[in-house]
Amino acid sequence: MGKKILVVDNHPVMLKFMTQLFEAEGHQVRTAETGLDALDILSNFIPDFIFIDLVMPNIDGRKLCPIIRKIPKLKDVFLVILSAIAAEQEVSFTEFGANACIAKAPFNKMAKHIHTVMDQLSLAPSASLSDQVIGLSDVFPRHITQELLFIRRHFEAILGTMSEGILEVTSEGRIVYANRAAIALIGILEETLLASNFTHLFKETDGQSIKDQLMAIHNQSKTIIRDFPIMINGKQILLNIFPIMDEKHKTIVIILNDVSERKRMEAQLLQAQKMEAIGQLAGGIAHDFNNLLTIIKGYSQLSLMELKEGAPLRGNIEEISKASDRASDLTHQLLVFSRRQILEMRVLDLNALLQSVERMLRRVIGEDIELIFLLDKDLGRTKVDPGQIEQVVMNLAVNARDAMLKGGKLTIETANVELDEAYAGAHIAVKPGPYVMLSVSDTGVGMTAEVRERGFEPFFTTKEKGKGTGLGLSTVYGIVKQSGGNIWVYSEPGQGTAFKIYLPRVDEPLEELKERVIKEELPRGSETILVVEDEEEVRKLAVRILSGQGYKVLEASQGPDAFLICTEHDGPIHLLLTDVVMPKMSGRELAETLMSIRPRIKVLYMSGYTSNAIVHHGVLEEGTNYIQKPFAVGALARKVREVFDK
Amino acid sequence: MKLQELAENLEMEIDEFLEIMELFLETSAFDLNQLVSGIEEGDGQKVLIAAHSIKGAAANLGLLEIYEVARKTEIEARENNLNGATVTARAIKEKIDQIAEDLLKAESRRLKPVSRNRLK
Repeated sequence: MGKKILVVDNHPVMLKFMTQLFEAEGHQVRTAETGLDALDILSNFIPDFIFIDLVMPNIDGRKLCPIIRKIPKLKDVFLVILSAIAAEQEVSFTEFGANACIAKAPFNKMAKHIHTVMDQLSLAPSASLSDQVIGLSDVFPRHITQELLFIRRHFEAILGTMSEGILEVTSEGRIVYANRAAIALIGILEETLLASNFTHLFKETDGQSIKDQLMAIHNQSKTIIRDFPIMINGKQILLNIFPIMDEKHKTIVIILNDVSERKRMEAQLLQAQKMEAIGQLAGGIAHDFNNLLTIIKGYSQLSLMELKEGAPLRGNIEEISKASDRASDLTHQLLVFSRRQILEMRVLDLNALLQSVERMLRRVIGEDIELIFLLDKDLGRTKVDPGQIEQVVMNLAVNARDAMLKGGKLTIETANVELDEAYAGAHIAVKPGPYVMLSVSDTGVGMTAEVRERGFEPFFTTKEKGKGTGLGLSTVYGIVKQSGGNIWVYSEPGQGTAFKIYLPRVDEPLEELKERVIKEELPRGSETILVVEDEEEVRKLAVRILSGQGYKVLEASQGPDAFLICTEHDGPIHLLLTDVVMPKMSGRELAETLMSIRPRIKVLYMSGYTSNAIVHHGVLEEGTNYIQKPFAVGALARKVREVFDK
Repeated sequence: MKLQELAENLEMEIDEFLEIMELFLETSAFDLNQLVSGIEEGDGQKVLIAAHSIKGAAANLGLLEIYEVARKTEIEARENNLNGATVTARAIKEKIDQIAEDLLKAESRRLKPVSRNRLK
C-alpha cells in the first residue's frame, strides 16, 4: 500500500533521489528544502514517514523534530533522520523525537537502509528501532564534516553567549533561528518559537507596524533601528532590524536589546530630579511664608493677651491665630519635604521607638485594623531624629488606615539589611552599606502606577477634598531622605501597599531619649536679652514677647549694630537671640564675635530654615540652642528660660 | 568511469540516474561558481561551503574522484589555504565537464531529452 512521505533536505540531488525512489514504489512524496517549507507542507499533509536531513541551514533536523512532535495530528508520524555526520559525531536522535537515523551514503546503500527502516517501523509502530544509526559502515570517511560542524558550533557558541537576543526571520516574520538570549527574553520554548511568527509576539498595532517594517526591509534592503522600545514578555525591548543577503537567500536579522532596566533607571532618575525641583520650589516659598506667619501669629497672640475676656474683637483674632497655626503647619511640612528642617539626631533603637508609639498607633488606626509588629530582636541602631521618625510612622499608618476602610492588617516590620554595590548601582542615590529596614505594609486598596509615581509629590492626594493635605507622604519622603535613608513603595491596585524605608545603621552607643515636658504657665525672667533679626516685624514681635515676660530687651537689625550695642551697653547681656541668615554678618559670626568680648553670653538661634552656619547637612551642632520659626509666644518664652536654666 | 557503470553501481535505472546526474550538474555548476568566486575574493568560508556541497553529492552518487578532490579543497579552505584551490577547482571543473559531456552523449544516444523539471 502506498505511503505518504515527506523528505526534508537542502540538497536538490538528495531530494531528487528520494522522490524517484519512493515514486517508483507507488508512494506519495512531497519534498521541502527547508524546515519552514516542511512545516508549511505539514499544515495540510499528514505523512506516514518524514525523512529529515540533520544538517540544514536555520531550522535543522535537530530542531525540526521536536517542533513536529508538538503538532498533535503528527504525533504518530515516523521521523527518520538522514545524517551525514553520524560517522563523526554521536547522534542521539531519540532525544529529539526521531524513530530512526540513517547515515548518508551512496544511494544504493541508502535505498536498502531506507527500505529496512520503513518495513520495521511499519511492523512495530510507535517505537524506535534502536538508538543505533543504521548504515554507518557504508559511510565514506568524512573527517572534514566534523570540522564544518565545529565551525558551525563555534558560531553557535558565540551567538549563545551574547547578551543581545538574535533572531533570524523570513520576510513574513517567521522565526528560523533564535539564540539563547532571544529565547530567554521572549520566554517561549525554542520548539514553539521556531517557525512561529515574530509579529504575533506583540499586541495587534505593534505587530502590524513590525510586519510593515519587515516588508520594507525585505523590499528595500534597509536597516531599521527602532528608537522607542516595544513590549515583549513584559520587558521593554529595543529592536534593530536589518537584512542579510547570502548567495541564495535573503533573510532578516533582528537584534533584541532588553532596555527595561535602563528605562527603569531613567524613570527613577527623572523621579528623583522632579522631587528635587519640587522640593526647591516648595522650600523657597515655605521659607518666605514662614516669616510672614511668624508675624501674623505673634501679633495675634499679643493682641489676645491685651484684650480682655469677652472683648468683641477676641473671636476674630482667635480665628486669625488658628488660621496662622494651620498655615504654619503646612509651611512646616513643606520645609520637611524639602529637607530644610533641622533634625536633632539621636542614636536609637528603632524597635523601642516603635513600641513607644504603639498605643498611639492603635488609637489612630482604630479597632477594625489589626496591628502586627514583626520586630527583629537583633536590630542594629540607627541615628535619626526620633520625633521625625515617629511622624513618618504615624503618617504611613494614617494612609494605611484610609486605604483599609473595611478593616485589614497593618504590619510594621524591622530588619537589618546590607545594601550591596549591585543594589546601589540599580537604585538612584543609594549608597551601599548596612541599613535598618522599616517596612509598613497594609492590606488595603493599593495604588495604581500613576498614584504610585506621584504619591510623594506635595499636594498630590487621592483623598476627598478636605480629608488630606497631600503632604503626608511628602513629609515622610523628606524626613527619610534628610536622614540619609531611602524609601520605596510597592503597590498594586487591590494588592495592598508596602513602604520600605532604609535608614543607615550605626555602631554608636545609645543616647537617652529626653522626656519632653510641657509646662502650662509661661516662665518669666529679668535677664537682659539682645535680639538681632533683620526682619523688622519678627524682631518687634520677639521683643514684645520677651518684654512681656519681664526681660530687659535690647534690639538690633544686623550684626554690626549688635556689636556696637554690646560694646556700649554698661550692664550685663545674658543672652543673644539671633536670626541665623542675615546680610553683612551671619548669626554664627555675630555670636562668635560677641563671645570674644562677653565670654559668658549665651546664644539662642532662631531660624525657619537650615543653614550651614549652625547645622551641617541639616543636623544641629552639639550644644547649639535653637528655636524654629515661626514660633508661638509660649514656645519662645519657654525656650529662652530653658537656655538660662541649662 | 562510464555513466552506465555508475548507474549499475548505485543499482539505479539509467533514466533515473541520468535525471539525478542532470540535477547534480546544475547544483555543482552553482557550487563551482561559488568556489571560484570564493577563491577570487579570498573567502575561505565560501570555498569551504561550496566544496562541502559538491563533496556530499559526489559521495551519494559514487563519484569518487570528484569526492576526493572536493574533500581536499575543503580541508585546505578550512585552514584558509586557498593556494592550491585554483588547481583543485580546475580539476573539479574538468571532471564535471567530462560528466556533462558523457551525459550529453548518453542523452543524444537515447534521443530523449532529460526532464528539465525542477524540484521546486
